[in-house]
Amino acid sequence: MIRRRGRFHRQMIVLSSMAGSTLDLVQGLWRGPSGRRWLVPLAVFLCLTGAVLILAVTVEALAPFVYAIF
Amino acid sequence: MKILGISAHYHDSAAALVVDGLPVGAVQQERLSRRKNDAAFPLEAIEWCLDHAGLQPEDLDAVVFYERPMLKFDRILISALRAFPHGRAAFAHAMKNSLGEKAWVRGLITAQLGVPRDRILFTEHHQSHAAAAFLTAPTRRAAIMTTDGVGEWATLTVGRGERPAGGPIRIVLDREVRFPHSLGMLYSTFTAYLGFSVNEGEYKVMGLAAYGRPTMADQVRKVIRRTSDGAFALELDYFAFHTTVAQSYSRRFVDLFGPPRQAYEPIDLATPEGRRFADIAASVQAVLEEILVDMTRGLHAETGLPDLCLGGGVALNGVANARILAESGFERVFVPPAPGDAGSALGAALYADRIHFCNPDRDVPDHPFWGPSIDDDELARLAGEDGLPAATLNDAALVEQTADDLAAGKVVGWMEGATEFGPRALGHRSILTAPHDVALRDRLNRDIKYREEFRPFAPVVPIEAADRYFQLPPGGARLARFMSGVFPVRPEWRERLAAVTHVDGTARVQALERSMAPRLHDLLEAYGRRSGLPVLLNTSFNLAGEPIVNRVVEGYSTFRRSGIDVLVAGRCRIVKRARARTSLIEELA
Amino acid sequence: MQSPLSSVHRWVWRNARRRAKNLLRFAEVEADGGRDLVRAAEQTQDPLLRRLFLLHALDEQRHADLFRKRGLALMSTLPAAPEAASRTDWLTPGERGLDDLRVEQERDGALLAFLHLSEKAAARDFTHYIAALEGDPPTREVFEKVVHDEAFHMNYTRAQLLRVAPKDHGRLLWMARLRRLWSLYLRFAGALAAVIGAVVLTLQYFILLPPFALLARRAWAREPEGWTPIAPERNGQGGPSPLKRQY
Repeated sequence: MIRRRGRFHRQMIVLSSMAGSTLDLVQGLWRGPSGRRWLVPLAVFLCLTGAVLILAVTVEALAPFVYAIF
Repeated sequence: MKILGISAHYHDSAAALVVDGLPVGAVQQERLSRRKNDAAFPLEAIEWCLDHAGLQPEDLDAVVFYERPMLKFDRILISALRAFPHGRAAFAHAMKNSLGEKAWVRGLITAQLGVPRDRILFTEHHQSHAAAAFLTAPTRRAAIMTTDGVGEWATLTVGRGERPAGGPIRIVLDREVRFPHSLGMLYSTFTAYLGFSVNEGEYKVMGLAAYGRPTMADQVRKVIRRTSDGAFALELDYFAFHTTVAQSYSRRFVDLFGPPRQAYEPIDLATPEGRRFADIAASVQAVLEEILVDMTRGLHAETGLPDLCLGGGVALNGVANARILAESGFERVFVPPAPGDAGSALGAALYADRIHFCNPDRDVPDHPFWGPSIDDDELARLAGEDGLPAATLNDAALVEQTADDLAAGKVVGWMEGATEFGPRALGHRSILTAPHDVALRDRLNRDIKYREEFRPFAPVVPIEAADRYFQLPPGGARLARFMSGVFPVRPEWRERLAAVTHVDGTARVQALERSMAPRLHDLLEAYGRRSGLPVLLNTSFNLAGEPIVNRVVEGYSTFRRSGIDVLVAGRCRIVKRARARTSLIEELA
Repeated sequence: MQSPLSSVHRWVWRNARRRAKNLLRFAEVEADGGRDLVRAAEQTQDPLLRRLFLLHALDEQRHADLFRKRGLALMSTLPAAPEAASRTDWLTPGERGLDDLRVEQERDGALLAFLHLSEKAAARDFTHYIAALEGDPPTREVFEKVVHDEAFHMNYTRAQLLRVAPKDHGRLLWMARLRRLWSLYLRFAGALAAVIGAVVLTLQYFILLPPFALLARRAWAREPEGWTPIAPERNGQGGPSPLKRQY
């Protein structure tokens, strides 16, 4: 039986994993053979945007207010 | 070692569990959630796999996701940049989609299952396809080709696999064709143009193709051309899928092929417009086959191997598979029962087991029945509650009774054992009926499956008798094991197999080995004793827009809502009692 | 009773193309609703409810067919037109058009209360549409047939609610009303958030992306067509296994 976590708890775990995943992306772009180091700043910025999107998904009812962060 | 494979987020999500090198369970999320092509994170499927094996998430040694989400994000971002300034809407959609959930798979798996992050692994999308095709096939060395819409960047890969006795297992993909150049996207674009749903209506294009002639193949060759190194490239001016989410094809495509079909317009093959659509379907099918045959021929010449494993969604194209077998030079072609993304859950788990953890090789049982089993007593209980007479019979009596039903022209819903993993009903969740009666086929289309007239039904035949009725080339029976090939029906039998013979004289036959589904095999023989032909029409047990039934109650509700006459689940049999709506309302009021 | 939105309904239903599109969309909504009811029938442990839900599901499927046939008949009388017609879906919500039903999570009582309110709302809406469809008797007839069935659906859901929750039906109905309101708010909040999100991402697109787009295009122009070799490391050869990486 899988222990079900609440939506908020789950999304917080996802949020906390974002740094590691972003680092994976950056390392991939930096070391990869495709020569896309120039993409790193944009990718990092968009990943930060992703944090706001995750927050908006977390509190669906407050999503319009979360977007006010921008 | 206990390894869970997961595929999710694009279409047809699934979970598969491998314990000590062998699958113990695999199921598509749609079969449990009852939402067709459910792409959501497959929590129910995972839960079923774990419960089935008596495991908790913390018992897992690894959880393997079937693709690399960050590499996929890289492709999505680069595609948006290439489309600038025309991809504004696609960019907003893709960013919300990816960054709002899909890119953060490691966190998502941790959040849902509580598995530590260091136990979460990622294979490449096409490695998962390759593993699903090669590691489940009864071959030691084979060439591998995987083809689909798109994974991360790859849309088609070729390579080879080796499982030497006692030696290290290797799957080496040598080269790839990269997005946006994609055979899967080409076919999906025509699917959309012909007014069918992408990732769902490709079967319809293949069925429609048989009604047309490839009169527009030259036009199709304008939108996809061969490159000098033997690969191919799409002429991107004709397409829009790489710049927008709303449309697959461009204005130029419409100029070339004419106005597209609207989804709600019926296809009337008696009209010039209907025939134009059929010709276009035939043309794209012909060009797809031409390219696949040429590429596999090259792969055969390069590897010199007798066996080929095909993976990816394009491997569901049975007409192309049969041509590859006949013309590429490969002696045997293996297509797993779930070559698409769902099957990648199993592929990812097997890849991690054999390649990452270097566990010893095991032969994977050669059948598709990895899903939940039926409860043998459930149908009797449901029927009893609804006042329907139910008969519980022993196997032999049930087979004889069902053969009588089929010989009398009845439509039978047939459920036994574990459900199939993959898109096809291969004998455990099937609707069966006599193969000769065109009126019965039309009734099946009209009152039960609610689908287009041009779509063919498939036959199932004992493997020993397959060659008598169908022109199977050497290796054809293997391809027909999981209904992966389309072969000609022998002309002398076409009339007596009219309900399963497509307009071009072919059928997507399933050649059934007794050991795979013994009771269905017995039923075919019993029906053969009555009719002279041990062949039945076998179609998936579902109604339009619904996934194939899983539990008995789902089979029962389908039986109650459709024109199925008899339902068999386990050893229980019930028969339809026709009632008018008004009398039902009066009874229930 | 005259609806306060009657002039809006008349406007929505006046145009034949809009009418046809709405009917085709209703067909989809009814078919979806039918599938929800099938799921409900498969979930419930109550045999009587199972039979009623299945009967109801068949009705929904029949309604879907009626709407589809009429929509197609209307479409066939119209000249071909570009797809970019204005969307007026929100003006004609139809049955359960504003609710996402999660049948698995519902108990019988809560589901019956929800269905009862949905059927009631649909019957009211469809009655208004009948009034607005004076000029199109065949379409009007379709709605009349559907409304006739809705009466049965309203009655049986109410009667069964009283049976399965004799002491609790009032509270369940109020909970269902609140849930409908909440889902209406969530839909509104979601739509607003989607608009704000789209604006923000569009701004990012035009402000941030141009230099990167230039670099991406230049890199693309240098990429060869056809086969691309796969590096041995990706196959796990000549290095640590790459399965830990997400890129």
